[in-house]
Amino acid sequence: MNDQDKQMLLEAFKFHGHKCPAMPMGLKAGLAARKALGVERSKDKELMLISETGKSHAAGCFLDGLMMATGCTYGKSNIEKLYYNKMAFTLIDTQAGKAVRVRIKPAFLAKALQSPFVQQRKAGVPPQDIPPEITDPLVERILNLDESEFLDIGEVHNVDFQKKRGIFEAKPCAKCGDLTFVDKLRLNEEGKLLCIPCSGYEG
Amino acid sequence: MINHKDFYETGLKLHGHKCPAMPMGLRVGAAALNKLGVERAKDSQLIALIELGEDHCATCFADGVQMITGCTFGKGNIKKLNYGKWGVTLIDRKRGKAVRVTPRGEAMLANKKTTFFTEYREKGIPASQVPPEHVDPLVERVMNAPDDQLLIVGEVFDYKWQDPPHSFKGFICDMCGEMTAEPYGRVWNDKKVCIPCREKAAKEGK
Repeated sequence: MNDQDKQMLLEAFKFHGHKCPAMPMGLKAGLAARKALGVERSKDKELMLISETGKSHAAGCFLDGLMMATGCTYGKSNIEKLYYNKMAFTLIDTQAGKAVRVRIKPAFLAKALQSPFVQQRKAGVPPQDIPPEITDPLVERILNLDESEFLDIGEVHNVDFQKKRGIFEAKPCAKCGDLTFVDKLRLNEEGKLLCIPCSGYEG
Repeated sequence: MINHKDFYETGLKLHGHKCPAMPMGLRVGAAALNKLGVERAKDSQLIALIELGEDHCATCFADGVQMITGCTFGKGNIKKLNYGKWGVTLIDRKRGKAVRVTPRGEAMLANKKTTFFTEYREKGIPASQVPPEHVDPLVERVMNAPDDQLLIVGEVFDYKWQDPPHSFKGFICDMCGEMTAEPYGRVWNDKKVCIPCREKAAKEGK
């Protein structure tokens, strides 16, 4: 890791909230995908990340690392979970129409799920309470791994990516007064504009 | 007490560009944490319910909320309700308490009338390409305005959260050879497979 990536790692730990091996795994996987595509971190929505992860163990931490490395964030909505519960993802360069799929090598992941860290997690210990003598060497190991030792990086392939335009107009709800984007305002019988919860509609 | 200013730099790094919405998320999140009297979530102690959806200009807001509350998309303790509003409900799972915080409507309307929106964002120019003189004053204002000018902080109320079961079991899909969590396993003839392989096999009639 170069100095810039090390700085990013520190910020990623601050963002994520605890030290664990899966977040740095995601960070390195995201950096590897960016390198394969030859792209910078996404400032706006230049990149899109489709993650095959869901709610399985370690997937969440992995994804926080991916967000930090790629700039594909939940806020900007250029990230999506498919809930396949696989430790794999596709990074898309929306401008060039190129994509790459990256996965954690199955044998590496199977072994990682036997680690003393995961044993503690299975026993119900929250990640931040696991002793550093267990966590730190595992994190160190991930940081020192060559990407080819734990990642399968697919071929860069072409994709046809259609962009959606954002919604900029917002009006107040006639009942609660909250300012609401117009695509989610609903009309009542009197023709007044209401937000979803005030309207009684489900969506 | 958490200070939103301690999280601006890292928030900016995560988010990727300067805009007023990410800092607004920091303000709303900080007010919610302080009202509940809780620390940032190291793991999944808190849950944030975000009323915004996917396709609004101000979704950047959710990155500020992630940064300050520690409720992250990765950890899965943040959820969009798709109401198209800026309210955030922060839940302390252990104590079963929650609070809703929203930016004041008039503060948001004033933001929307600035050149950042009218001259740039509404014309389709990405936030990272807006000149600093049109962004910086907005960020300044959101970061420095007193809470009561910017936010409406609700009362703390009871909120019981039911945890879904946590799964550690996994298997290797017989078709693609990838690790898959057990509850998501599907059966195809005599094989144990993942969802996409099951769908593909069914489509191809193998």
